[in-house]
Amino acid sequence: MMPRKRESSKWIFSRELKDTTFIEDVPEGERGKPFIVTPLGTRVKRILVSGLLTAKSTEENYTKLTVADNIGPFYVTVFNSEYQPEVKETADKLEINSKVTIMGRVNTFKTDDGVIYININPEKIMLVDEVMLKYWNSRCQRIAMRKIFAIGEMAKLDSPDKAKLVAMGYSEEEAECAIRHLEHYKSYDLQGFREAISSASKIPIPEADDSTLKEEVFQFIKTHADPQKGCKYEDIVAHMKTKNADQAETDELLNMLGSEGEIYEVALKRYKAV
Amino acid sequence: MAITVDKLGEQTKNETMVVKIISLREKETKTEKGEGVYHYGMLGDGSGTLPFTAWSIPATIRAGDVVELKNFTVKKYNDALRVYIDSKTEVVLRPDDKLDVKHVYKEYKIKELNLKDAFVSVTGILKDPIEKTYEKDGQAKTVVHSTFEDDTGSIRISLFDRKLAPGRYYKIDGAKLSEYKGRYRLTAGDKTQIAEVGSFSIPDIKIYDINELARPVDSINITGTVVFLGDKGGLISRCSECRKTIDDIRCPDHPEAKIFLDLYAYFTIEDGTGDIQCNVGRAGMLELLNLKEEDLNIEKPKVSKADVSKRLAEKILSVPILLDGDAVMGTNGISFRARRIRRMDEPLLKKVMEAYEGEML
Repeated sequence: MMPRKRESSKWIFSRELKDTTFIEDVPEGERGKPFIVTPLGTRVKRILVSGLLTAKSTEENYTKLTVADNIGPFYVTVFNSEYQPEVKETADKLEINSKVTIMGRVNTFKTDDGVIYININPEKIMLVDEVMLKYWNSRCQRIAMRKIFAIGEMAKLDSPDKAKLVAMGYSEEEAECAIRHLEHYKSYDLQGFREAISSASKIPIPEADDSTLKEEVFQFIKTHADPQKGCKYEDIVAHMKTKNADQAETDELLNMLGSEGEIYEVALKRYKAV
Repeated sequence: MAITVDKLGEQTKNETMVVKIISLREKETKTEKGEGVYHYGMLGDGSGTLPFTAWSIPATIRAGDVVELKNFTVKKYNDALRVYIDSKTEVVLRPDDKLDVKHVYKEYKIKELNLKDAFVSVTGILKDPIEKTYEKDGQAKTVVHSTFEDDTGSIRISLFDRKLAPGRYYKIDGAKLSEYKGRYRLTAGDKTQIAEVGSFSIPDIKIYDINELARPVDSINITGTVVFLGDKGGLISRCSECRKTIDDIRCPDHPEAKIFLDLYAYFTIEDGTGDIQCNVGRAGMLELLNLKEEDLNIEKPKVSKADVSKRLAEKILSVPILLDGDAVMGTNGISFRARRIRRMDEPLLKKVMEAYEGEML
């Protein structure tokens, strides 16, 4: 039997992971976690991310980390594992604003409403320097831009044709990503994504009040939620505006809290604290 | 009116052409239906050459003959046009005809060389010649082994009875491409045409994404971060006789042979497009770990196995690295033999990113 090739990690920005809405089915007879397909068509099971540690909560059995790249957060859950106890130990020792590179498996959770939450279960956590962050950022930009170009070229063809894109100088992977994008994300706002990653050329500056704002959202939901219907999204946004957080920031905070398991959506755009 | 080789295409039908059979080889086949034989080789005329396969050909035809072909077909095989001769093809020998063949070789960048084309044309700079003599038919001959480099990589080239000036740029037509120990090499014989050409720019860093590496190519660069470091590398002892790594104080196969200290590392790196197994030998490790040859004197070593492992981990883990070396074909696909490993600092990162930018579509 041929040895199975190691699944290499994908290097993608948080935005590409956050906007993911498609999870592949695990083939019959196979075990393990499914691949996700991102808006750029990247088929991901293992991921390598770099950024600043912006939040950490440590429990006995798991540690939750939030790592921010230049665009947004990645949510990381490190479980106590007898196979890799050093990973949790490393996570527990990390300090806020540490520069880290994390390699791990993506783990998905889909709510009844079809909302997908994705977090990363690390296999390796490395403390890194600023050069590593810049290197990772530059590589992600290049990889994403080439995929966007490939999608543009593929969209011009009468029907998707991998060989034609490869003949133009794209890799097989880039051509396959373009096909998957057209299959699953035809109406995705590629321009918006492109603008977001174009601006991602600087290392993120840690915002001191990020955890305070998150706590503000959490407390607001906790104290203003209807016992049955939960707290209205519009009310949360309006409240956070008084705290100088715009709608996009509030969305991020809600995502963060949702991914950390602190809140959940009882109905569409209605939240309750756990 | 006969068609010429340069006008042949997949749509060619019901044409006649007069060609010279440049080479003719026989191959035996064994299938469920039984055993058989077919021929293959090169044919050509004054306009160019093409490979051919003859499922059926008159037994009297020899290499060097001029023949008239009718009802042949042309198809693509391995991305290259090929003439097919079968039982419907009329092959008429023209013993009195002479035909000069124009050899046309496909021009390749070194990174695109592919064994499907055995004879190729390349342009680059000749470097590091090493001259050797050998004897053939009682006569002393010379062969010069050199490196031939273009803007995409380099390849080893053997020049038989030819002497070229190092540091000059040449176009080499009709060099034979082959593979030896996972690396490609070129051979230039008496039929290979070599002409000096003007110089062109060759970048210091020839950067590749890992997923681009499909075939062997020398003197290139890749970047990445180490995701696995093999624990059997580092400071090792070798037998001076068989050069095998030994764990004991003497080699089990050569107990009398001297033991020497060596440096070696193997690891996996990723760059976001894929992963690749890499290894680095003594010279690359000495530079990386800032060690000298005398530090490895087995009588008085200045470093321990633990020191080397610690230094190696500090140098290559959790940092972006730039590797100089060769992509080599092995039983498990392409791997990378690093000659030099550099940890990237801000200025080097900038240079590397500019090199990647130059490669952007």
